Amino acid sequence: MFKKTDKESEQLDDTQTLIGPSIEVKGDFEGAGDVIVEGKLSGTLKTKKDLRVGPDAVIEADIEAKNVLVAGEIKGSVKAHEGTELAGSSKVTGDIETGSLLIEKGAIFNGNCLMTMAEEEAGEQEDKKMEKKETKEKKGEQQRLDDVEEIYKDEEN
Amino acid sequence: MYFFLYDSFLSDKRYEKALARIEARVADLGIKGRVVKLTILQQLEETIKEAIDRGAKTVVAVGNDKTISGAIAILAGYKHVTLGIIPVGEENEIAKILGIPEEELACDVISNRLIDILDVGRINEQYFFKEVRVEDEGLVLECDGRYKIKPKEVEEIVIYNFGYNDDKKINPKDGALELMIKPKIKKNEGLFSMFKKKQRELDSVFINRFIRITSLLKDEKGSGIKEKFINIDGIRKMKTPATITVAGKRLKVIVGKERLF
Repeated sequence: MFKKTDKESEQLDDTQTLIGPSIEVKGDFEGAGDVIVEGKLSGTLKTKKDLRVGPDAVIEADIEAKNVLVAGEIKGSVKAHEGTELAGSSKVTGDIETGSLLIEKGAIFNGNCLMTMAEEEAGEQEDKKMEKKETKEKKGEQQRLDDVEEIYKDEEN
Repeated sequence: MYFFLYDSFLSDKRYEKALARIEARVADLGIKGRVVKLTILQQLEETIKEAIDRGAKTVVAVGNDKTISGAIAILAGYKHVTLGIIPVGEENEIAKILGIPEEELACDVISNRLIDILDVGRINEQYFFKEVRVEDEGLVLECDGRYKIKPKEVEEIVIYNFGYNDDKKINPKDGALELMIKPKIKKNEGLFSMFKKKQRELDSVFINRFIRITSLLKDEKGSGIKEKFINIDGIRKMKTPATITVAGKRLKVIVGKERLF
């Protein structure tokens, strides 16, 4: 996942923030674009787009991003609005709140996981089912009324 | 009213013909104005301020990137004045990005008056256009008042407002600065290391509006660190600490249709 490929170098062009291996960031980092962390970060990290944590990165922070791809170490909570991927080299100590979760063999994860999107989706599906049922019932009722109307008409005739 | 400002290096004989062609084209297009040829003793700031006081509405900088950067640092304080550019000589990256061809061809761009308004950076009380650079270690960068960056083994720190970061274009209209930290090239270790290509880590990149550069009080060995020099647009120097911000859209400049942003 974190091997350098041509695709990755293409992705780097779109990356807004890149914290290199020799960099230490302390405080509340907030970004609007993709973020790649290869160095150290402590505090909080929030971005509207994706976060990639490189194999040598060490993060001691609560994280929030669209997608979180981890190959390094995170101590803190992770909130991914879409998905989280833990590579075999990753070590996460903290709770994960995510829509989808992929854990590779070898990854270490100590914490609780809350599948948010699954719950929402389940809720949405239940709502859709209810809507369908209601529509069916309405259609059935209409059909029944139509039938009754026809019967009355026939009787009148 | 046009005011033409010739850089002092143009007094060299090799530029005589180019200047004659420029002057002829300026006359053809009817965009003539007062001309001042700078000398080593003549101050750029005083000359431009005097021209503006006399009613100049367009200051045309004739020269290279250094001439233009110097003019912008002053014109950023006068929002009603427009900058025109006639690139002559070497190092004309600014004109290239703005889509302005060299020498007499630039006169047509000025005559067309396609005006754009661009961001200007500010370092302490001075304006800059392209970038500020620090080629040193032992610095702390405080960004947007939210987080601090401590870079180690750094070759160079550059804060861009305009231009190119390697091949990547910097947006001069986004109201933000691009901070780039270039790490040192690491020496290879082990057997046959001399035959291996030296590897450099990726540059770190941050987008900010406000950056404060300070020197560490003590280095890793515990000894005190002196103030560091910051290079501004390659024409001025300043000592740390410094606060760098985006001063906003302060530059009214005549651009070409072929501009690269």
